[in-house]
Amino acid sequence: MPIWGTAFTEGHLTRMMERYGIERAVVSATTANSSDFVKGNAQTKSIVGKGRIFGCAVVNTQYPAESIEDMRQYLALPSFAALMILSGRPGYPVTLDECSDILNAHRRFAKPVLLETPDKSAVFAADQIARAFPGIKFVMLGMGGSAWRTAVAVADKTLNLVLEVSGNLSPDKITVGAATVGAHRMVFGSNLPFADPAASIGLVLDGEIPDADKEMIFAGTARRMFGWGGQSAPAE
Amino acid sequence: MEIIDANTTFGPSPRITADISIDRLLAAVKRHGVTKSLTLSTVGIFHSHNDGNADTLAQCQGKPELLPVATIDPRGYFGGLKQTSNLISQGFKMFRFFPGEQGWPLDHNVLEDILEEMEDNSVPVMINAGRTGDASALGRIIGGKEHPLILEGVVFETLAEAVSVMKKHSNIYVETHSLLVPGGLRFLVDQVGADRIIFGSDCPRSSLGGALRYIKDSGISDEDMSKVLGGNIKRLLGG
Repeated sequence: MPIWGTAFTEGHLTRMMERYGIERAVVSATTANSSDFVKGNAQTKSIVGKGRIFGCAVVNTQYPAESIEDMRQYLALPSFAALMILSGRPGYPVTLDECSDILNAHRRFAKPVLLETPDKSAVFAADQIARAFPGIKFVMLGMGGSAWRTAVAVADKTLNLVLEVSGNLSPDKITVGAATVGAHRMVFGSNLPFADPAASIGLVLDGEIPDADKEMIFAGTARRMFGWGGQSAPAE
Repeated sequence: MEIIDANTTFGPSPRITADISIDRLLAAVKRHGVTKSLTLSTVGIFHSHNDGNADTLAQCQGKPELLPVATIDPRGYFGGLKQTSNLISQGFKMFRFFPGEQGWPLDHNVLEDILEEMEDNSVPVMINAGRTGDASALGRIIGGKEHPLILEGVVFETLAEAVSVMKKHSNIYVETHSLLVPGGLRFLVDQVGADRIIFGSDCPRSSLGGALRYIKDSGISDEDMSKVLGGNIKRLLGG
């Protein structure tokens, strides 16, 4: 996607990872998120499997058959670490009714599902989905935005929800989240290329939590959730 | 390097659960080595600008690290009382307006009246420009005058508009706390110059550490960073 009038390329991503000491990243093509998930997933496939960059397949509830086909194509690959489900309409969260067929097809892949949760209504929708599919881990991207306390409260009760910390920069977010659901259910994310990792890194470092919990948010949760035991992404 | 935070608040937080007390602000300022913070009471945003300004002055009393900022809600301002001059004489260093949080449009004649009333002094004004069209409207209202105007809350989606307005009007500046896009600061330095960029954090509503890290990791030169982190706002405040 042209974020500065030019595409945010694999080279840009790699440089940002090196600059901030980011060991691994789970990425989806912005083409997939914004307009054409089939084309975008193919773009993602072209840059993963080289060691540090893992793919996230994107599907769109407006196209369930094509979504299931793309899941079959990519999610069996070890270089794809997660699935992201979108509603196709910015500002409208994915609902349980819309994504049930996709999630039923996803069960066998046993990979985490990422849901955008920029606000309270998206948090409630994610909670409903997670309760209906207790065997799947769901990651709330953006942790509810300014409704992050709602996200924390919901995750406290729904144990297959994980909080991703990018977005709202409230200084309490990390401290309250770790105290309530535990750092082992919080995962670092930057929202590159739309946000600089510096902001999220500073937010986590600012949290009034032990260093071990910060380490858990920065790396431990992702290692466990994505099944990374220290090995690189296998080539395909 | 001297750090002056141009955007902080304290007081009640009715819309989201948050501790944004004066003690929290002071602790964050101390922890991150911020020299001075321009601040105001949220009472002035959510309740009454008169009560809020009084609270700001009272809380800043005896705290040299805090510089009081006044606010006026145009919906309750009837003019004629030289209120802006009185506020400046009481020690307020800057004025802020909150159209988004208070629910009034920038196309508001009373806002223009207040800004005209302030033309005789050079106290900077900070206004939220987070919505598409805000920066353009402010450019029409205050652009071309000498009065310094700081656009606050500019995000990636409104950055191009802010830069366009700033290129037309040399008295318009931009504050940094919402500017989180990678390369955003370097882009601004290239487009409008480091002299027009003002560090702000929105602390303690937002993370001071996150806001500072964005500036410090931006890759701009030390000289430019010094201007952004403190030099520019110091100049606007009269040194």
